[in-house]
Amino acid sequence: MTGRTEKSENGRPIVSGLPWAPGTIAPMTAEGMTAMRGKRRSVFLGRILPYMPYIIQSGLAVSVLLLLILFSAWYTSILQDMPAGFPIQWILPILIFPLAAWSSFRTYLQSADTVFLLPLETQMKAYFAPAWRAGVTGKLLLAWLVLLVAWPIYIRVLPDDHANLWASLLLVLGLKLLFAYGAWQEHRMVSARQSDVYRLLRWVLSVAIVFAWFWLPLFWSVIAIVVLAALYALALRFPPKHRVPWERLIAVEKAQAGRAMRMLGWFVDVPTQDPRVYRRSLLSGVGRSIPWKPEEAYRFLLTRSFIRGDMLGMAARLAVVGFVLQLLARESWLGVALLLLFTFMIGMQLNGLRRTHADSLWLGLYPIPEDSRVRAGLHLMIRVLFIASAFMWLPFLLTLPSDPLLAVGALAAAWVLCFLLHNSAGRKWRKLEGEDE
Amino acid sequence: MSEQAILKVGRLTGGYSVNKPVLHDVDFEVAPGEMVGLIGLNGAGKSTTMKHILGLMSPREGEVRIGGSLLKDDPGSYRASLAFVPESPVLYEELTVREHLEFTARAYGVDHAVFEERAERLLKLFYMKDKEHSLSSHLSKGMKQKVMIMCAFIARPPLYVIDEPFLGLDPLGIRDLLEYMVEVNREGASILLSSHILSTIENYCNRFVILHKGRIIVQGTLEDIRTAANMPGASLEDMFDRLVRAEGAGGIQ
Repeated sequence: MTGRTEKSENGRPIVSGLPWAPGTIAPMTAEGMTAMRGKRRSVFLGRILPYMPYIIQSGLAVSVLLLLILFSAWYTSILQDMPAGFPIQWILPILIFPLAAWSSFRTYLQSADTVFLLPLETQMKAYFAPAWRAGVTGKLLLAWLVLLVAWPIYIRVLPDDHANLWASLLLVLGLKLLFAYGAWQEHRMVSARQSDVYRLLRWVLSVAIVFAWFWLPLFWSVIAIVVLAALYALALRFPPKHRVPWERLIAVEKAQAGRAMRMLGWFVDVPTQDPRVYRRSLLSGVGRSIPWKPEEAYRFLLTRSFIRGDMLGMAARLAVVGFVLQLLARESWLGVALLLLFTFMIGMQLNGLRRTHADSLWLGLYPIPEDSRVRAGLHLMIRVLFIASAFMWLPFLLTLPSDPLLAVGALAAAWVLCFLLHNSAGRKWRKLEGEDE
Repeated sequence: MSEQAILKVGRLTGGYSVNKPVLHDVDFEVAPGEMVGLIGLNGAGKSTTMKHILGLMSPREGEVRIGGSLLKDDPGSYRASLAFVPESPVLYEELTVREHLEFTARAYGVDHAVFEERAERLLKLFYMKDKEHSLSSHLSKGMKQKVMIMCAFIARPPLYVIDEPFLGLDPLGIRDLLEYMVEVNREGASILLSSHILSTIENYCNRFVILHKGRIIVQGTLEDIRTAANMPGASLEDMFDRLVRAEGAGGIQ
């Protein structure tokens, strides 16, 4: 195969994205592999980008801008008037370790690849290289940005600390590469259980290394980091692995594409894809007590789907972040504002309940009342909102003795917001259902 | 038969596009306790007929009645009278095998205690007891098909519409399914069954409806079809072969 030709034999420009003319039977080269992933990526972006104007119109741009302004104001005030004992030595590692451990790759692999690309398994490196680079770069830049933004606070609180900026930036780079390599090896592992154990190990190590760097004396921190990283790299060699973990990568890709579409779904109506399913055995009892009658049958289905789906994960993550922020901000009105903001964000996520099972064959065929879907969705929504906001409010219990009005008021305000979100969703859903019919 | 038919497909014409109907004047009935085989080549209109019965498609002309009523007259009782087994399994990935059965039982208003009893028996019968708590995404294709079949039988409606149920089933699964169909038949339920495995259904169905290019070319008992094909003592497969080929050549000579 010779290099890329810009025009085919009949002079027409090439549109396939592959480095040879359409209709040519050519051996698959590294260049072709890279081009194919590039083509698939642009197809995916082509599906996402048309929705961007709607997202910006939906108020996201304004909200982000507002948050940025609020954050800048808070940031400036902190820098000008540093509170004594500001816990930056906790905050910075807590911000950095998830960004260091978090690794994902967009491969754009499809089910059909197990038939058509499988014979090219030994040449897949060229296909995966750009996925790997893109997966590391974006997250590295984000981690660096967070580090750079937090750094002025860090050196003000701990001016004599050994952890200097350049070394920290370098450490983040090293961790990103190490953990991205680790995450890729996790995908390759034959045993799903081993893969889970190594994922946990990656996150635990990230906590250990980042905290070691910011808390231990220089000598010990360097020793700890080198030893832990070396042991981790060594440990990754042991589990048996596939050369290319086709099925795992296809499943992961499907989940990631689905997640991207669902995130779009918060703002605009997009075609939903198959949801990712998590076992969550601990919650297996939820939904058992739902009354045993046809009017409540859909509630049973929706509850089971919710506890095993992505939406619960997203709501729970928001609730945990909200909880942690309340721990810091519970003594001021900022805490109330954050509680309301997070309740609102969870409410926005739960709006996705309307789309759950929207195209289900069985809901059309089974003898269940037509308004089941909307009713059960709203019912679940208000319950989850109440539980999540009460959970995020818990830190206010510490404020209760000193400022009962603030503490009780925060919960009352959050629950009023829950009702408002529920009612507005009810109106919107019923209107949309009417339109669908 | 007309008064007591549980399913009555009356002069049904319809299809995916308004101007090009797939089905032409399809007219047949299924009586209580009867098993009727709907047979035809790929694309003959079997699945389209079933979709009209399920109410997933609306007839351009003609009507479909279950228990005497149209879907639009009484959607609740129409739906409750009917269970469907699709050709390819359609399952909720986030539900376990048992939860599929439970959802179906709840939807059809099956009593809780009755559900427990039926579920136990079906899970054992189809060798799915050790899979009852598996998520459906972890099942093989044949097991998924078994879940579909169990869901239909957990509901115990008066009419079953079963599309190609044997695809992907293991030999024991096929046998158990046939026996179970005979059992519900005996209890008075009716079954409309489409299949290409003619040698199997020949011994089980009371009557057959042979569809070709969207039209019924012959319907009746095995004997009726032998008469129509002019092939005394012949097997269903041989008669089907002859009838369908003859239809292409302008009919039986």
